[in-house]
Amino acid sequence: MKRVRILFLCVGLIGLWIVGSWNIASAEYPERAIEIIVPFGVGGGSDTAARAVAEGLKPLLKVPLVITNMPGGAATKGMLHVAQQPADGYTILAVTTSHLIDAVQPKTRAHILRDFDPIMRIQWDTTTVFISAESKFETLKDLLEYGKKNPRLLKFGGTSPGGWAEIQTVAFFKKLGVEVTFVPFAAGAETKAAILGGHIHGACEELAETLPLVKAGKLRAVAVIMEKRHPALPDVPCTAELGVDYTHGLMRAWAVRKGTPPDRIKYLHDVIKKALDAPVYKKFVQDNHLYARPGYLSPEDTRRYWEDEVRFFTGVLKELGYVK
Amino acid sequence: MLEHYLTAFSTIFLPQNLLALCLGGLWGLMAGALPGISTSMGVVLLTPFTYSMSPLTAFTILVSAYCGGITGGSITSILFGIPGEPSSVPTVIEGHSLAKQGRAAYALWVFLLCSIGGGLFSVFVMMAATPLIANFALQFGPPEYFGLTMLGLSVVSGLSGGSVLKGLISCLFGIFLATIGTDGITGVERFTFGTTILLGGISFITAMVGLLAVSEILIEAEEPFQQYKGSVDYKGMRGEMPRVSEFKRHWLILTKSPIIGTVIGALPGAGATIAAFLAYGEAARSSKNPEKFGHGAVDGLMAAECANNASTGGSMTILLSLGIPGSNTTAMLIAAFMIHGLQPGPLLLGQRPDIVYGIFVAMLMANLFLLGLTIIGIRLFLQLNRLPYSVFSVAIMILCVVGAFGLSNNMDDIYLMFLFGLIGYYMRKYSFPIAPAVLGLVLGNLAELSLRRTLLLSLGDPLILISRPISAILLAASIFSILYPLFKRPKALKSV
Repeated sequence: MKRVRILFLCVGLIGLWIVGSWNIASAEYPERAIEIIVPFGVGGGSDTAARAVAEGLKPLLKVPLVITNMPGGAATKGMLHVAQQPADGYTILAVTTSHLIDAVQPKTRAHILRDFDPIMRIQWDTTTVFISAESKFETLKDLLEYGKKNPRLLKFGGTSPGGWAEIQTVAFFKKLGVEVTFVPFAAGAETKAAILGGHIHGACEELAETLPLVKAGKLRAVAVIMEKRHPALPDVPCTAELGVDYTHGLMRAWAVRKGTPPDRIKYLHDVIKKALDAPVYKKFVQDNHLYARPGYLSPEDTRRYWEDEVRFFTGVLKELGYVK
Repeated sequence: MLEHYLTAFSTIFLPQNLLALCLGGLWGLMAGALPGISTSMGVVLLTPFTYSMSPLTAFTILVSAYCGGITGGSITSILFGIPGEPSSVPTVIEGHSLAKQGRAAYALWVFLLCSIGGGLFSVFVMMAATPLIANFALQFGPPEYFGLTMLGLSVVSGLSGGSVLKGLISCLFGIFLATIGTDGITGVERFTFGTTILLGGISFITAMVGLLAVSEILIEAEEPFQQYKGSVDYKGMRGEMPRVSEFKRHWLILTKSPIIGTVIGALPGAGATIAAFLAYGEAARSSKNPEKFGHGAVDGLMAAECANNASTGGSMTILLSLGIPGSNTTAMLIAAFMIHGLQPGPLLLGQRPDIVYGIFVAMLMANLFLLGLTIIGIRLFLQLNRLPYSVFSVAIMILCVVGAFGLSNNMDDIYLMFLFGLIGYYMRKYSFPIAPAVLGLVLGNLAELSLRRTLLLSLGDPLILISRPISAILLAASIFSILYPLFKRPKALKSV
């Protein structure tokens, strides 16, 4: 009798356990911390951008939000890490244009188009072409004249060799018929110090990073790479005005591993979209002058945009002879 | 100007700012002392808490944490032999040697007084000559950086201890390590063997922790259950106070090193590490008993600590005057500036003098505050010295593993760290000095990149290196520094 009772008790307990765990399994997503992998170091542009979004996102989530920096290998190390995590929506990758350039000739086994599903594009930044304020050149036209007469003598600096900064600089000038020498530096600070010291002519960098020094009269912006003038620099001509059909800008997006359940992607999309309206993030957009072009794109549009960009970069890299 | 300083001083003594100084300093000390959290990480983690503070209080707490982090890193270096930042490698070599001889308290006193002194010196220079230093730093282009790295590498003979040949081999090994990873000019992978482990290159911290700390534990483990050498003849803080005469004897080093630190700290990308090594190497070169270097030379510790901390002022100088961050941590401070609607740069001094002078004064006060905080804190740390080495080494190993993992939250770095631990073990066994390898690793990359940048600028013409005055002077100085021991040695032999 006793044995039977114990047996019943056991069966009952096991039943409870199954029902309980079944309940847990169907518990609402998210039920534990969500991790955002930033494939760059602490304090960089991508890191501060991700942290700004996260500040707006934290109050909207019931679970903790963790930002993990995983720099290395031109942002591919972090990408590979996310590609190896389970596709459960608990690991998010902060994507930048670097990953789209990497997709032309992947450094690792991870491929941004094949292995990831975008949640949304968050930012679309503007590049400025700038030189030292003490430079003998006044306008982009002066630069181009000099550059056309003296191929390779025009020296432009920037970060990420073979990555975004180099491709943007070289491709932009190529489009204008000028062959520049690209001098890679380890950080934006070093590039700017080299320009101010007169060691190189200029650089193409994101607007927010150069604006303070432009406003202070130390640097001179000669063009913004965009289809219209930037409100923060109303006196600087845009490329469309100069008759150049080149408007590419640095993109920042968030993505999860391919195969993540669509309802989880939708949940993340909706909650992050709400976070973009938070005052903390709005202030970040103001401070970094990201309002000139709409940053947000829906998941489907982001994918289409990515595919277009990868196609564009494939062409550029082939033309420049970086890939065969 | 004077009135700005008066206002700044009166605001810093507001209770909330004093509290900020204290809390920021404590937080920084903790972050710096734990190898898993770097100084810049400490500042990042603190930043969100400053959103709601008034700008000056926010910067007081951040700047205080910055100074505290640099100070805290040296405590771990001396007591545990784990370098928190590349710039504290000389401190590990000399300070930890002293600690092993049972003179931990003495090493801590010297470090504390020198680093606070160096910090204060650089703050005064920053107050007086911000635009001057910034303009001088701008004269440094790629050719000058190359000259600087050559000067840095030339001190290798001073670091080699007994055999210069072994020192050179060790240094070349370090330079080789620096070539691993993604090439900084073309973006091509080198020596990665198709793996992702080495794609980002070998990080300084991983290699340093492995070569210096892990290898030491392996060596010590050969004699099991031995008492920790530090606990033999252990003396407290009071008994080990250095005498004034000792500082008087090294007055030349104590004036040279902070100047080196402040000037080189202002160079973006060079900063504290090169400053510490240059000052250390210079001390080794000019020392009367160079054979003591590597075995607890006080003058080496003094030089490295002065220069290391003086670089904070240099790096803030260029941040405040040009808006260009000289180090990772100051890059983080820029983000903090922007949160409070401020834009660091040439305009800031005119627009918000209260903030700029407030930061000057906050740095000054933070350095003084840290003196008190550390003296109290060190007593607690010193108690660890009484642990038997079998327990102590386990704790150090845990800190090493956490530190390597915390770099990029990746297991790869832990594997690499143990590999370097083995390499360091054999280097010690065959008496290859380790400092030159670290020097090569730290400077090799910068040397290579700046040389290649230089040649890109000159379209392949190497004459640019000697046609520019600063670069020519630096290269001449490094040649002198290499040849100097050759002329010095015969004299020493005569006296023997």
